[in-house]
Amino acid sequence: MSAPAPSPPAPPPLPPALAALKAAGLRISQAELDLGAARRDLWPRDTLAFRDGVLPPTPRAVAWPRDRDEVLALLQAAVQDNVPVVPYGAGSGVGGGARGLEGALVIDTKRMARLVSIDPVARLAHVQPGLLGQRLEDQLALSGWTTGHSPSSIACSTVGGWAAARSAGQFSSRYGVFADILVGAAMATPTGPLHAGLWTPPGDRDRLSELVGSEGSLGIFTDLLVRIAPLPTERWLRGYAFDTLPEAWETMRELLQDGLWPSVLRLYDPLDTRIGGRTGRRSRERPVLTKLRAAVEGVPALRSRLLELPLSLPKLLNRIADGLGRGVLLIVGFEGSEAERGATLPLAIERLGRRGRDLGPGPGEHWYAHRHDVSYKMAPIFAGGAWADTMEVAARWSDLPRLYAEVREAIGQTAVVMAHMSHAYPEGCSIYFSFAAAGDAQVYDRTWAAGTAAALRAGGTTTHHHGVGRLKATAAAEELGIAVAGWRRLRDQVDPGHHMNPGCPFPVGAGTGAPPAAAPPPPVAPGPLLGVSAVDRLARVDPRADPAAVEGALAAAGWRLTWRPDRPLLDFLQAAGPVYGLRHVMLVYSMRFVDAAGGAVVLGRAPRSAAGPDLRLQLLQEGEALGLTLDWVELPITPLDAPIFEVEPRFLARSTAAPTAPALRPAPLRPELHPDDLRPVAVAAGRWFFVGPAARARAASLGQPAPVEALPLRSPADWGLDERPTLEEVQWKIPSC
Amino acid sequence: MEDSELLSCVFCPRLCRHVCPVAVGSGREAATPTAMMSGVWAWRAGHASAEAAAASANLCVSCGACTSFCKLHRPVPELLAEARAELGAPPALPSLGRIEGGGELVAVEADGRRWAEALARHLGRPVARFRDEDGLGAVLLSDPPRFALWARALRDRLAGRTLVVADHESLQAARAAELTVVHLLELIPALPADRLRVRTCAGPQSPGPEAPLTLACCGATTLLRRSHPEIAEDVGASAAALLPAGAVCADARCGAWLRQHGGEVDDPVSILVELAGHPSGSASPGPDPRG
Repeated sequence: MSAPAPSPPAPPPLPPALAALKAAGLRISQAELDLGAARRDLWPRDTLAFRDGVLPPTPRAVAWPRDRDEVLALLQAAVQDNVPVVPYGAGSGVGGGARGLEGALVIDTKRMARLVSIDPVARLAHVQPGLLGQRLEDQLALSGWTTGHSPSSIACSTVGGWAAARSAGQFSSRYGVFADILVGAAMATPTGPLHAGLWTPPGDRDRLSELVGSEGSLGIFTDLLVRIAPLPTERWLRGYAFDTLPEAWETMRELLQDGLWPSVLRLYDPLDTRIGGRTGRRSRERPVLTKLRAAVEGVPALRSRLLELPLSLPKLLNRIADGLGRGVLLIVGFEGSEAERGATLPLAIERLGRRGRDLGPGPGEHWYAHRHDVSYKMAPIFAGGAWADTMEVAARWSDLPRLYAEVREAIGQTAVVMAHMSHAYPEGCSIYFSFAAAGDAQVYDRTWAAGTAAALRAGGTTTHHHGVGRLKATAAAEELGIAVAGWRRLRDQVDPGHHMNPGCPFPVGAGTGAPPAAAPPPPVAPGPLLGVSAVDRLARVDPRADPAAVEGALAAAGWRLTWRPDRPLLDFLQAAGPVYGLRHVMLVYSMRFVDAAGGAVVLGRAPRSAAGPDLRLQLLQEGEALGLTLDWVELPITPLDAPIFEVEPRFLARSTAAPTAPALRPAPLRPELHPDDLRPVAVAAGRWFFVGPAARARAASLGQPAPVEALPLRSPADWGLDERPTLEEVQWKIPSC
Repeated sequence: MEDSELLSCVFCPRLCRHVCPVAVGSGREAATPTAMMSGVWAWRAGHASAEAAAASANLCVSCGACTSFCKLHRPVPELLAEARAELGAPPALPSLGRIEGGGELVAVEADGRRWAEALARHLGRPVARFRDEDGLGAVLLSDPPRFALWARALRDRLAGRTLVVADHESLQAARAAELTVVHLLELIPALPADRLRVRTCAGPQSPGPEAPLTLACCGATTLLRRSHPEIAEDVGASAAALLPAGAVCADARCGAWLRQHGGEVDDPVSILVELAGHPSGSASPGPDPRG
């Protein structure tokens, strides 16, 4: 044991406005113990430094507000005292977004930790931001509900953190990432409260997509409105072996593009298949190695450097890994209503069997039982003298092979690296690289710089669901380029003094400079249809073209728009806003903006990204004011020959009388009747529309399916929650069969 | 204790924080088991003061919820107790208390309420009374060597009699001292099982996905109140807010604390008195006089 350290110098006393709040009873601490704990989140770079005795900056005080009014009071006091503010949930971020700043006020949200209400009619839950994820799920489960959001950090992360950093869970293929689950938010900002999503005040623009992913740079979430779904009654899990990674990718893409919506798709690359994707069989005993390890661990001086030597030869180890074979393991899961599983599972099994070999339920059930265990594996690596980290990138399918190869090669120069792919969409997929290395912070920084640069070169996003933090701030600013102006514009409105989490999610000074010049005139497009990516199921179109002309050009190429606008596309997109009615429907995939200085940026490099706020909808409306002109957009498409079926769901007439006969009272809800579960592509005039190989079976579970030639035209107002049948309607409209 | 014993926790992403009653109840980052262990490790590594480390270690209420959740089964409460002993001046030895009356059973009236007579009436046999105004072992739990001395003396005085306790801390202390002990609830089996909805005793009842609203011992009445009164206040209020209606707390002292914070809660002593009748002047299950 080292000699005990003297007490560190006491922080300067609280400045006057904060001192007044403390005197009024608000919980604010300057105790060494609280300041020390608020100094870092789970950024491995800080863990590495902490191990080596280098401590992150110390904040000046920590506060624990109990409600929105106390958060607002704290923010106003911080502005008055000119103190920077760092919002803090459970500190599970791995990018330093909740890292202490010298002299800052840390606002910890964990005393705002209630599940306020559950609305079974609208299938929504009102939650406070400081509630830990697992406790939310436990409380929802008591009433038969779940958010479906299950990140590996669920035990140690808050709901507010999920929103701030654009979290994704292990069942995202079915339930969406947290940005898809969140439909309303209240945020306290230095200039007052802001409401978004379904809580947007009438007449205001909905800014939910700009608040999600803002990582504390605009304000602090105080209330959140999230989608909930019935707890699944059954879960189908399997493992499938594939000979190569591309074959497995192809199968994943087919499952998603055929609209089969698995709950779990988790593909391990060759090395991860051998290390992390084991199927539960006990590995062969190696008594010599076991004894050798025990001998080394018995010597403290060796134990603390146990991993340093092997990890100091990363290129060699990666080459050895390359020789282990090409076979990969895919974990597949389906859950939900019996009706949906009946409509999709047989097709999915057929698709999986085309290239894969069924390994039975063992691998899937083993993964499910141990799905959070990986978090226990980091500690031994740090304790063994090395460090470990993860990097989650994403891209469209057509860019995925290059993204995998280039990022792996870049990281592999300094670290031993493996990967899995666990968030898949019809248009693309994420890749989650896990790597371990020996060396100091310089090696760490070099590894990350190489990895993010490779991701950008390959056309991907630098972060799919870990957020930006301070780790990826520079890379995120590069990724968003001239679009950062959108975030800056909103920040200048809500936090003109720039007190909120400086340096996150973009570096201090990002997006500043000369005021924007006038937006350049729109380029003259060579036609309504600028390109089709059959692999990604996306069409690049001129947003100013007549939609009928777009449809005509697409039909000639064998495609149709997945949804059909009832007016000029740009007008439609500017009026539509976010889609809340159908969580799996995406109106626009990507868009390109240009400015007068020749700058250009594509927003939407991947189906989902956590590289700061999603600025696409904002720039559709405010781009001109920022000197940005929309060049083109990419929209989802469907093969022209994919069957379309409509059905008018057969329910009993809605009863307006209070239920009196318990025998007639159905279960609290009938999940098979909710659009979230059966996933129509459109609901219009009481009819539900389904597209793709499972369309007939899905429609048949609701009534008599009828084939149709075309989807209905949609208006911008069609995408609200009003399209969902309420629970009240569902409850008393029992299928007549 | 070796530093390596702390490292699994120091580098852990705080996976057990959601089952720790102090971390959840107070909402404080410093109150997570990981932060407590990090506080001790930082002191041993020379990065933090002994005062800060002691403050960290004193946040643990030894409920064991973290250990039962941890896949590595790290003995966090034991390590922190060891650290407390290593860190500071040991607290003063409380008095041994007094044993009054005869009978094979000795009721430990740790919170000042008098229930020995009610138990005697309920069982139909004599019950002696043990009066310990500091709480049996509450302080000594943090000082194992002193506790061993104290327990030896107590064993001699008990002379083979069985202690009856109604609070978790006394149960834990008595078991650690290898005294013969039973919990009051074991002697009043008439209590309907469904009334035991909240069991604040530590150990096997620690919360998990299968029993999400069950609380581990929040410790607000004992160690925590001594070392961190403000945090104890928040933890108690949080625990009270989580209580389902009609809850029964297996720990009489916690029950008193929870009632004080607005929780609707019954406890073993109140139930005993209800079952045994309440002759005037014999038992007075009023509020905890120290609460």
